[in-house]
This record gives sequence, structure tokens and C-alpha cells, in this order.
Amino acid sequence: MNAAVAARWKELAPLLDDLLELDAAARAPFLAGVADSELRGLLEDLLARESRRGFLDGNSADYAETLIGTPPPAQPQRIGEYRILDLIGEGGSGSVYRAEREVDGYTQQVALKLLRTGLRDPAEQARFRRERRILARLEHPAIARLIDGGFTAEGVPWFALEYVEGEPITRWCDARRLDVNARLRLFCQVCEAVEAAHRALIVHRDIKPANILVDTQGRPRLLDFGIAKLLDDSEREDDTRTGLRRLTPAYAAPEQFSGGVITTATDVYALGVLLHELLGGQRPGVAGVADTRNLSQKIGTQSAEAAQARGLTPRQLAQRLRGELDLIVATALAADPARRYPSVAALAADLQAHLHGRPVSARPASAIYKTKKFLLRHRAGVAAAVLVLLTGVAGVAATWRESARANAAAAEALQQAQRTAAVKDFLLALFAGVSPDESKGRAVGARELIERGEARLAETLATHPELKSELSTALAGAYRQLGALERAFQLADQAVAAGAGGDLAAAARLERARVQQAQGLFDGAESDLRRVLGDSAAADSHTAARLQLVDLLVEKGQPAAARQALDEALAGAAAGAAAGTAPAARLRMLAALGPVQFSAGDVAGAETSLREALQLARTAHGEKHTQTARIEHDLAVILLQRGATEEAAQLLAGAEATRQQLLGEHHPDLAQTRFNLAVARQRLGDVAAATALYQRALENQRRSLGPDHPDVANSLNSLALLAWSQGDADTAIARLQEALDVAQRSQGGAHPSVATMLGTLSGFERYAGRLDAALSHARQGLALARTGLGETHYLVGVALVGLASSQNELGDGEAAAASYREGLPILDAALGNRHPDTLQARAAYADLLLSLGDRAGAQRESDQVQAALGELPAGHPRRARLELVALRLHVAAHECAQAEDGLAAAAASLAKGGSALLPDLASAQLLLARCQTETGNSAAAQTRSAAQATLARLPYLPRRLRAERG
Amino acid sequence: MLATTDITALLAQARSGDERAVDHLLPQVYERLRQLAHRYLAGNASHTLSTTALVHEAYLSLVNQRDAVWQDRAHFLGYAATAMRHILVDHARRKGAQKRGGGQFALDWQAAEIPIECIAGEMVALDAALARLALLDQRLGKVVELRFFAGLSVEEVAAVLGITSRSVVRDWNKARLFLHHALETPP
Repeated sequence: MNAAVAARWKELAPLLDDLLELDAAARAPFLAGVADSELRGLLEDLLARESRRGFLDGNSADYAETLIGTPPPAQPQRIGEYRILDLIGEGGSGSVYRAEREVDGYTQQVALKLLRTGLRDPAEQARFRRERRILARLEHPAIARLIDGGFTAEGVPWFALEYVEGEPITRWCDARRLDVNARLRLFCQVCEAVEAAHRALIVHRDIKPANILVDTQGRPRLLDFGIAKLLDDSEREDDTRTGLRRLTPAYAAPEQFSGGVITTATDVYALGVLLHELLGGQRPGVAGVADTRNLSQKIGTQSAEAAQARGLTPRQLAQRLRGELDLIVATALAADPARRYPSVAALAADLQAHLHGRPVSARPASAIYKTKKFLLRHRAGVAAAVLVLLTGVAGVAATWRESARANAAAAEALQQAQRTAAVKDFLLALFAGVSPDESKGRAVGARELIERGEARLAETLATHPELKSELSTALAGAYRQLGALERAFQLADQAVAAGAGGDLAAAARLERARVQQAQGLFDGAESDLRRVLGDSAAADSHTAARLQLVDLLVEKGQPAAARQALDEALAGAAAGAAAGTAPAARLRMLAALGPVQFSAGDVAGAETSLREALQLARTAHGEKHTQTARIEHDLAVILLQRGATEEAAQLLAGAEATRQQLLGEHHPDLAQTRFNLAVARQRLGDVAAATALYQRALENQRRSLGPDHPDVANSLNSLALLAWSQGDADTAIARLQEALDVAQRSQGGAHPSVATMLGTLSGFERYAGRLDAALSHARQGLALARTGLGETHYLVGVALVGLASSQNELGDGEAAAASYREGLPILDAALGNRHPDTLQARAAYADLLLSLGDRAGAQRESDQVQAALGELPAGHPRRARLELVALRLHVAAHECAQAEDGLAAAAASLAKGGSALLPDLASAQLLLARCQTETGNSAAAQTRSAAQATLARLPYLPRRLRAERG
Repeated sequence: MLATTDITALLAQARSGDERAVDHLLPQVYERLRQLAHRYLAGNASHTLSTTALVHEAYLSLVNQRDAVWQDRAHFLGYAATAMRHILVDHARRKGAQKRGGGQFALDWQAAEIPIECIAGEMVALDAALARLALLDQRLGKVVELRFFAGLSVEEVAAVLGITSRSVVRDWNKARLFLHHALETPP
């Protein structure tokens, strides 16, 4: 269970953050939403401990007082015939004293071990004595002899060992700066001693530096041979887990953890650990914890001291160890005892062979073969997910992309990946343990691979610092795409700081710019991009930087500057690829161009670009790919804008599925897609689905992007719109104010989206009858749109129409008409005169003209609206709202007979449209009642009371309704 | 024992990323804390030992206040927390730490009169669990060190790590669950 928590901690941590902030009642549904049952189980298990008071919740000062203040247990005076001199060591099992006794007139010094627990059972005591006699027969010059043993009065076993004055082997070697060969020779002597014990059928079980002392003559002496077994046996009765407790975890073989059979192979493993430490200065890590790096790969800059102690630089040391010694250590350390050296003698023989330049018997664990097999098995899924990681590694990236598509390409990718040994090692380490066998059937996601990549980064860099910039950039990009922006920024920063030149530096800056842009740090991003563009040594990166700059300027709300940058990018790309643009480059270009065109108001151009881009992306990457999803998303946004809601919803549903699958639940891009899908669903009338999608998007954004991010503002904005559509004007206004605050903090007061929000807010305020605020916000919004987007942007048209409504409501009809006349041509040009928003604006203008007495003008505008209704299905509330204008004209012309059926149908349709259409519903009902009265229809009274009921639901009665109510 | 100026210089070197300075720094801080702790306990039985006070006193006595820059304090507290942890765990090891309750125990740690072997055992086990946690998320490990071992307040931890208090609380809550789980579940 412990291991599972550790293995999945990266997934658990963000969920715990969320859960800990929820109250008990809200946790159950959250947990129920966690699809992965193992993950859910772990979360429940962890949360169960929230109210637990444990050691950690106590006061460390109290513990400190107890621990530091209490003196250690008193030292015995005598044990057996031995005088205790001093305490020389203390361990889990007991204490070791230096002791002496008089034998035949001379003083014999011993190391006396006193166990902690007593043996009371006579049978146990007998067995202990038997074992002791076996050990006492073990005689070898390199093994400290067991001299004596017995029990104290309390039944506590003790034994006396030959006292060896010396230093632990590792410290001894380091102190004398022994080189690798000298260390190997010394280690071979240790092997000889262990082998001799094995021939006597005694396994040491606890080989570690503290048990191998080098004496004053430079000879290794092994202590405690077989003692571990003695101890285990002696305590078996009272605690079955003592065998575990006895272990020195760093040197223990896997079978010692798992309770497997202890054999001579156990000692081979411990010797492997010792060899690892003697050669590399560090232990390989606890057995069972996956670490697939070779010994030499672990030698990095942090190993300076270790290398120095061997008379080498870290680099030289890594080189010295690479190859045969890596293999020998790995073979000794194989997790499966059957794959280790069959005997200590075999290990020693390989070391001797190595020392004498003969071929060694150890064979590589076929890592490359395994990776190949892995690639073949997982060609599509993992390769595509990991692709992002590698985009920074030039040359490798291209082949990896193909490897997602064909088996043959996968093999080739591997060869390409061998371009440099470091990159190869990096990849191998990355994929180690990913196969279902090794991962125990658990799917290894992109995030885990990337985290693993990062863990390997430091190691790879230690030996290949020249790759720092490249690999950090690649990882930063991967993290960015996973939405871990803070981590991405750190890595990108490191990549820039690595101080590479030319295209590497450019790539690093480009990535840092992307990260900063995603973080909303536009100025920092722009300065990085301008740096790249100003660096003539990085000309190859200029096109990419310009495209990124275009993207950035668009997001910053500077379309004119964005267009200029785009022109430069197009020119640069044309110059760079005279022979015609490759599909991949064209795809990138179109994908960047589309949003720029859109932002600059060229909706049709944007659609054309993105449709072509989508086709290219689907051909190049297939449907399930982040780039395909991104283009689907962008195209859908445009389609939403021009009213093609069905197709937009379809594309967004596809993008949502892809992003969820490839990027995970917490990625900001997924939130964006959900957001837009919510817009589409809302327009299609599915308010419940829309609300849920907005909420999910908002939660995700607040977590992944922080509370002051433009996307958070956007979602708040949408929730406001939704509240409004439900008739809750107060909530809508409050939400929108919140959104505005976030937007102004995150984007600055002059951003176009702030303009849009001001316009919307103005609309809400008008609806609620707060007319002065409405007018003032409308004016502010218009001014911002004009400065930020240029005079002809459709949002300027929208703002003008909004201003007109406020002016009209305040009684200034002439000013309102002027605003419409200014705004409508902009909408016609930018959105087309069949766009629902344009139609709505024109209908409002017709209404205004009618109220101003210009019936001919009203008729002209209304006719134009009615001619374009075909886009909206019959019975659609928005259509009914547009039809209402024509009906109103009929009523004004006293043509009730022609209007009556239409009004009834419009009222029915508008009634389905939610609270936002209440003013229109009331209007339709009032007009219908009037006509029914005129035509003598008996339903008139009933209609009138329905109209009154509708009016009662409105927070404020607009002018027109006040007039129509009579 | 280095003079206070040396410690200040080491802090400056450590700040500029010199790892060797850190290697030299830790033993100094360790030794100083240990001395202070023993002096406290030996000197006055009525005095309650406070890890927080120790850590701050060590700072005042080790770091030359005139040359110190404001980041030094934060850095120092970071090292001091690590040193304090080592001191407690070392003492725990010496006090026969092998008696652990393991999964079956549910001791109320607020209660007095807990056997020293229990405290020692838990301390060593916590140290190991914390090491595992730090491998997964270094910052969580650091937060626990500063909160638990150095006894710093949430705000002080936030200042040392340069993160918000809210993040400290979140980290602590998460780390607590992990550690409780690790300590109560047999490996």
C-alpha cells in the first residue's frame, strides 16, 4: 500500500489539494468522480488519516527533550569472563563493546556483541550454541574469528569476535585515494574470503562496509560472518518480521525483503552493492526501488569528491566505469537471483578478466532489445504522448513522430535516437519499466514519463552538460503542454541559463516565451521572442519566433502588430523554403495564421486557413493528437462566431475527448475546450450540460492557471452569461464584475476582452434598469474596443450596438440611431449580414426606427432581417425574436389579421427561450393581446393576463414594453 | 568551530549555488544546535527545551548580523531545520529505536509518559518516511522539516521557502496524510 501511494503520489497530490478543501459532504461526490478505483482507494485511505493524531502532530520540542535529555543505558561491567572496556558500536540488534580477558598470561582483546533480546527457551539456546560452534570452525585469514559466546544471567546471548583494528573498506580506500584498479584488487580479496565461507556452507547475509575492515597491514577482514542468521534464528519466535528488521536495507538483496530463500546469491548481491559503492562512491539505492541507470550514468558533477578520491575527474570516472564494469555491477545486482553471477567466484573471475584485459562473461540485459519490443508494442499511444517531450531534441523528434505510425519507423527511430549515447541512455531510462510486464499492467502516462525524464535529466547532464539546454527545453515544452507551467518555467529558465549559443539558445528562449505566454506574462514572453529575432546566429529559429510572436500579440490584443509580425513570418518562411513549403511547415503556419486572421476580424479567412490546417493535421497526425485537437478547437471557435453551432459542437466534442485522453483532466487546454463546448451547448439549448461544463472549466482553470488568469475571467464571464440567460440578473452582474476584476488584473485594463465584458455588463445593467451604469460601461467598452482592435473590428460593431441600446433606453433615440448606423456596417462587413448577431442588431435598429416614426426605414431593415432567417430553424427562440420585428410592423400598420398567428407562434417559441428573452416574450404577448382584442378573439383577456405575468417577472420594464403595455 | 564571519560567508556562497559550502555549513549548524540543546538541558531543569528557540538562537550566535543579508536568515533556518532533524534522529538511533508500534498501534501522542523507545522508534521511522516523501516532492519534505523539526510557524516557513502561507498549509496537510499513512502502514 505504501509503495502504491509513492508510485502514484504525483496523481494523488493535486487531488488531495482539492479534497482537503472540501467539507466532508462534498468529498464523497468528488471521490465518486475518480474513475480509477485504485486511485480512489488510495485517496480514501489517505483521507482517513486526516483526523488521526499521531507522532507527527506532537511537539518536536517534547521529543527533543526526551531524546537528548535521557542518558543512554548503563554499560555492563563484565560479561562472561570478559571485562567491558568501552562501547564501540550500537545497532538495531544490540551493542558492541571492546572487551578483554586474560588467557594464559596475556590479554586478549575481543569485540563483544551483546544482543538486545534474551532467549529463554532451552531449545532455542541449544540451537544458538550449535550455530555458534559451526561458525567457530570458520577459519580464514580474511575473516574475523568467532572466539566465544554464551548467555548472560538474563538469558541474553552474546558472542566474542576477534577484535580487528581497522577502517571500513570504503573509507579506507577513499582516505588513501585508491584508484579503480587497486580497489578492484582489494575487492577480489574480499570475494575470496566470502567464497571460502560459502564453501563451508556459511552465508554472511549482512555484507556491508561496516563489516569489512581493512587492518593496519592493508588486509581486508570480514566481521560478523553468519551472525545475521544466528540473530534471525534467535528471534524467530517472538517476531516473524525480525528478519526484515535485521536488514541493512541499502545492501539487502530483493529476496531478503520478500522473504525469499537466502542463498549464496544473497551475498553476491551485497557484494555488488559494495562494488558499486567502492567504484562510484555511492550505493545503488534500495533494492526493489526501480533505478535502471548504470553505475557510470550516476557519476555526475555531484560526484566530484568521489572521483577525486579515485584520482580522476567525474567525467573520467564515468568513462572508466562505462562498459564492462557497468555490466559486472549490474549482473551482480540483478533482482532475480538466478540472473546474478552463479557464485562469488564467478564475480571475482570477471573482475580479474577485466583487470587483465580479457573478455568478461557478463552480457548486457538487452535493454535496447527491450526498448525495441516496447516501441513495437506501443507504437501509437505512448509514442504520440511522449512526442512532446522530444520535440526539442533535433532530429530525434522527426523520426519519433513517424514512429507513431509504422513498426519499421519505430526501429529506425531507435537508431536515430542513438545519435548520441546520452540521448539514447536518456530514452532507455525513460522507457525502462513501461512495458505492461514491468509496470504491472498499470498504464504509464505521458506525465509519468516526463517526470521520469526529468529525474533522469540531472544524471544525463552530469555526463553530458552540452545537452542541458536541449533537454531542459524539451522537458519544459512537455511540462507546458501538460499544463504544469511553474515547473515548465523553471526548466525553460534553466535551459536559457545553460548559456548555449545559436539555435539552442533560441529554442530555449522560444520555449520560455511560450511558457510565459501561457502564464499570461506577456511582456516577458515578448522580450524573449524579440531577443531571438535579434540574434542573427539563430536565423533558423526566426520563423518559429515570428509565428510565436504573432500568437502572442494576438493574445495581447495587438492585432495590427500581430499582422505585421505575420507578414514578416510569411516572408521569412517563403525565403527559407523556396522550393515550396513542406506540409509540416505549412500546417504550423496555417494553424498560427487562422487565429490571427480571426482576431483581426477576418472570420472567413480564418476559417479557410484552419480548415486546410485541420486536413493537414489529420493526415499527418491522425485524429487523436494534440495538434489536431487544437485546430479543431480553434476552428470551432470561429464556427461558433459565425453561428455554425452544430458543427462547432461536433469539433469541440472531438477535441475534448482527445485532450482529456492525451493531456489529462487538469490541463488548461481541456478547460478551454470545455468552455467553448459549453458555449455551443448553451446555444443549442442544453443549459444543464453547459452549466456543468463551465463549472468544470472554471475549477480546472483556477487550479492550473491560478486565480488571476485570463481564462478564469473568461469562464466567470460565461457563468455570468448563463446566469443571465436563467433570468438571474443580480448573479450575472456580480459574476461579471468578478470576471472584469480578474481580466483587468491579468490582462490590463485595455485588453479587448475587457471591452467585451464591459459591453456585456452594460447589457445586464440595462436589463436590470441600472441605466446610467449601463451607458457608462457601454462607452468605456466601445472606447477600449476601438483602441485595442481598430475601427473595423466586429467587436467595435457589437459595442456600438450595445451603446445604441443604452442610449435608446435613456430616451436619446437620435443618438441611438446614429450608433446603429455606425455599428451595423461594421457587423455586416466582419460577420456577414446573415450572422445571428448582425440580424439581432438590425432588428433592434428596425425597432428603434419604428419607435422614432420612420416606418419605411423600419420596414426596409426588417425585410433584410426576414430574408436571412433561413439560417435559424423555425421555432428557434432567436428566430422568433427576429420575426417579432416584422410582426410589430404589421401591428403598427393595423394588420392584425396577418400578424395574429405569427404572434401566437412567436410567443410560444419565445416562452421556450429562457428568462433572457422575457422582454421579447412580454412584447409578443402584449401585441397578441392587442390584436386579439382588435379581431374580437375571446382569448384576448387570457393573453393579456399572461403578458402581465411575464411583465411581473422582469426587474425593469424597457421603454418599448412600457409603450406596448399602453 | 568556525567564526561567525565564516558562517556568514558560507551562507553567501551557498546562496550563490556552491554546494560545497552547504556541505560545510550543515555540520557547523548541527554542532551549534547540539551544543545549545545540551546546554539548555544541563543548565536548568525547569527550562523547557524549545526547538524553535534553539534554531533562532543558533542563528544569532552563528551569523554575523552586521554582514548578513535578509535572505541569510531564511537560508539559515532551512539548514537549521535539517540539522535539527539529524540531531533528533541521531539521538533516537542511539536510544534504541527498533521498538516501533508499526501498524497495530494507535498511541495518543499528546499524552505524556510515552516510553523513550517509542519516541525514538517513531522518530527514526518518521525520518525514513520523510526521506521517501522528499524524493517524491522535495518541497513537501522541506515544509515538514521546517514545521516539525524547527518548529517554525506557517508564516515563517512561507518566508523561508518563498511561497505563500496558503501553499505551506496545503503542503503540510498533504504531507501529514502521506506520513501518517507511511507510519501506520507496514512497508
